[in-house]
Amino acid sequence: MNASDVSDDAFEERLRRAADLIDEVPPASLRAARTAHSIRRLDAELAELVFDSLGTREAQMVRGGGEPWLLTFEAGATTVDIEVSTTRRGLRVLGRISPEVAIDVEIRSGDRTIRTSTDPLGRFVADEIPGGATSLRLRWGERSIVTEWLTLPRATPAS
Amino acid sequence: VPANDLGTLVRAAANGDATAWEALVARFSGLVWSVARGHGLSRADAEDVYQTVWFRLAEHIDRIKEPDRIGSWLATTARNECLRLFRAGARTSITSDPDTLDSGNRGTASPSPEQLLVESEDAATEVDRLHELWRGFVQLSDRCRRLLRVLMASPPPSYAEAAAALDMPIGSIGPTRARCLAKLRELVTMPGLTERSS
Repeated sequence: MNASDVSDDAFEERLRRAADLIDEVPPASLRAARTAHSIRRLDAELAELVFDSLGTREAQMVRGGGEPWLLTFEAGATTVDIEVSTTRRGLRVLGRISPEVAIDVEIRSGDRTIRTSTDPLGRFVADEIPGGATSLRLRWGERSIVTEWLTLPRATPAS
Repeated sequence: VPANDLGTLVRAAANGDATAWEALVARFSGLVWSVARGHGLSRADAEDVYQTVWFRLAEHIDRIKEPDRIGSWLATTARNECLRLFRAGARTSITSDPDTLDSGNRGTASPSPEQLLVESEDAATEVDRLHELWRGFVQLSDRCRRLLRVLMASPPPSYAEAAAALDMPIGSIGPTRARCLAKLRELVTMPGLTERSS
């Protein structure tokens, strides 16, 4: 069959068959999506991303490494600032919660969960963050906050 | 799935209905994946974006403002995560390298129905043809690849969802699609491409 003999709709349908064959959703990712509903952290407040130093315009794309990447999340009057950088040991997340409070911090990133806690000024640091889908959970007293999920680049091996 | 049913599904999922959630994933999984791949992310990065989008929906689902337009919300969220990852230093590898072309389904634990078809000779020929078509597809311009990759999601997105995924006016989807499909026809009818023996 010659490609020019078929209608655009039929041609697009052939492309869909090709994509289903060659570039389908990986099964592990599909499983993660299907079970995402059951891992909702309903007891926690959602802190939404309100600032991203990388901006939102396509024109600002790819600058290479080196510059700190700053993100701010807010839940009510509580603000969580984080700075993401690359070190020899992978990604580092430096954070601060304000108003400052002593909290337990749990960072879910890729397949791992990394735990740390704040100093008296509400600051925390975590290394060897794998990257991928990432969210922080902050807990103190009766309160619990989770930051909106976002994607951190996978750390590239140190050269 | 009609839009008002989508709204019902979103509200049911927000109230804890796992079946409604699975229906949403079944409907839009392919779209979210195709947006990430259409933007040129490597498979590994596309998997990260795909997971982020679904995790974010799970925790956002009770505050979605227009439940009927959940497909557009997912497409926009996927696009924004792609752009964020680009700025943060993603590995881009559009599918033009032969490794990626061939690594699609092979080696996954359970063969898809498409793979099982390969059992027969006819099906093997069909698979070869689809690979040829894909080789033509990856030679298209970025713009055409992005548009067609989104439109070829399974199940196919609405034009409104495609417009959200591509940040294009809805009115330009149809004409651009026609142009890109015409270019692809030229590519796959070129002797060098279609005569290649496998």
